[in-house]
Amino acid sequence: MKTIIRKAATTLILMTMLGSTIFGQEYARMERIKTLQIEKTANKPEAVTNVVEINVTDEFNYLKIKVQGNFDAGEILVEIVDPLGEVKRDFSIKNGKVVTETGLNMKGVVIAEMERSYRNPVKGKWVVRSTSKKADGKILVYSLQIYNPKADLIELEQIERETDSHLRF
Amino acid sequence: MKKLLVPLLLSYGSLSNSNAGIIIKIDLDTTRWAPVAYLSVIGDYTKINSISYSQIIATSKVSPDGIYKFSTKYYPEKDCLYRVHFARRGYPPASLVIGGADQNYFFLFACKEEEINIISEQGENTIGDLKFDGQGRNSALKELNIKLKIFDSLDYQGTQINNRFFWDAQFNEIKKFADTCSYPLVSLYALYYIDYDKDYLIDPKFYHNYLRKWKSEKSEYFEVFRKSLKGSKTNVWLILLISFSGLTPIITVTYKVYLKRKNNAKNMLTELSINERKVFELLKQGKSNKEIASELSISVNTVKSHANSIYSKLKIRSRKELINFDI
Repeated sequence: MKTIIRKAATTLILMTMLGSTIFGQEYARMERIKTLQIEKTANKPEAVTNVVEINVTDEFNYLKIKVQGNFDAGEILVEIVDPLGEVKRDFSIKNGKVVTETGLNMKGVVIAEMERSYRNPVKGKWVVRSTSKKADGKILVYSLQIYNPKADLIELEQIERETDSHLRF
Repeated sequence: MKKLLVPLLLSYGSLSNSNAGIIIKIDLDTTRWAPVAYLSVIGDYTKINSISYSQIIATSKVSPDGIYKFSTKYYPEKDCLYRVHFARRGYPPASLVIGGADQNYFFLFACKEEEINIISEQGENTIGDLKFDGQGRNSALKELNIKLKIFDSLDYQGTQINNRFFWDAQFNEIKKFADTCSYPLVSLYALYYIDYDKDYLIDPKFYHNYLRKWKSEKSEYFEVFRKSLKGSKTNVWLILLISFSGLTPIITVTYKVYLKRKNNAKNMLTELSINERKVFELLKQGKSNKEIASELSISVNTVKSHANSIYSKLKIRSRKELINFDI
């Protein structure tokens, strides 16, 4: 099947277990990078949907998701959807590769990033869903899950800061 | 610091009085951020989280005293929503960071030949804490954004049940803000944020009253809003018009397709178990998991389990789709 989207063999560069004892009693798991390679589909005007799943289990009580869309053609909508099917947040990119009516003569790559954090997230399969049309580019998805016994926000943010440098695009 | 900046900005404004504009004083870390500001016009509230080159209408390089300025000379007479953003070094001009410490934009309303002074003080993200001069609609927008930030970060607050409780409270708070805000475009901005489309099905009276209140508001934003509301009077008139036109064959075919789809939907519904159908009915009424659990005397987890199964069997992905699912 001529699928227009290849998961680029789901370039799972690292599925790092930062060890269950790195932060004392806390557990942290970071998944990076899942890359969705969206290829140009100029002859197929219909929208194409693709998903990256993030499995949130009882082990963790904090979830952070970072998504970056990097496109030089087409339209794309990216949504974070929780296991109950509710869209938690979204962003969209449009890149027509034409000089715009603004007269500024700007064109080229368009990048959008979105970052969301959830304490006590709903357990199950969270989904980063992309719907693209005539698009050419890629989507990077990072997730960070932490377990902290008290689910204390200050402690969680401290752990997050310590691991955040790994989550930079 | 602010005491020093305000006279500086005011003098800057007065010097260029005939050339009014948006004047922004912001101290960016220029080792990370390019010293250029981009101004985009957001013609449609559904595009708030959207980025494209066609939105960008002007750029401004930083002046030696750290000020960015956009002329408002050629703006539309009526208020429009604008977004000012900055790009990280090495990133393209059209780059947007939503959420987190690197959030790189803010919104404001402006109209033709208006002068707006903005000072950024140190805050949680790149943009910082913005101070608008005066107490107009941009200050109201800032006040709203503080509420929206709380609404958006509710997942931090505690257990699922607590989240739901706080979510409902914050939802009503934002709706109340929309109801009482004296600036129509700020008020409408609030409704877009809370997914008014879904809420309209639950509380249509609020929206009918809202439309009545702002019936004289002619901006494009309100026109789009009016059109998008389901069950509007416009739709009723359109149906009546079609009924009396000579489009009977087209209407017949459309009706047959509609019936076929309806039958398919009915067939799909027969796949649901009795309990799932009960949950489906309550979800369709817009009730929360907690409310459903209470009404059916089952646990919230069981409701979630039924909901997942319903989504899977009906091939839908969200509550919004479920509410719109035609039986």
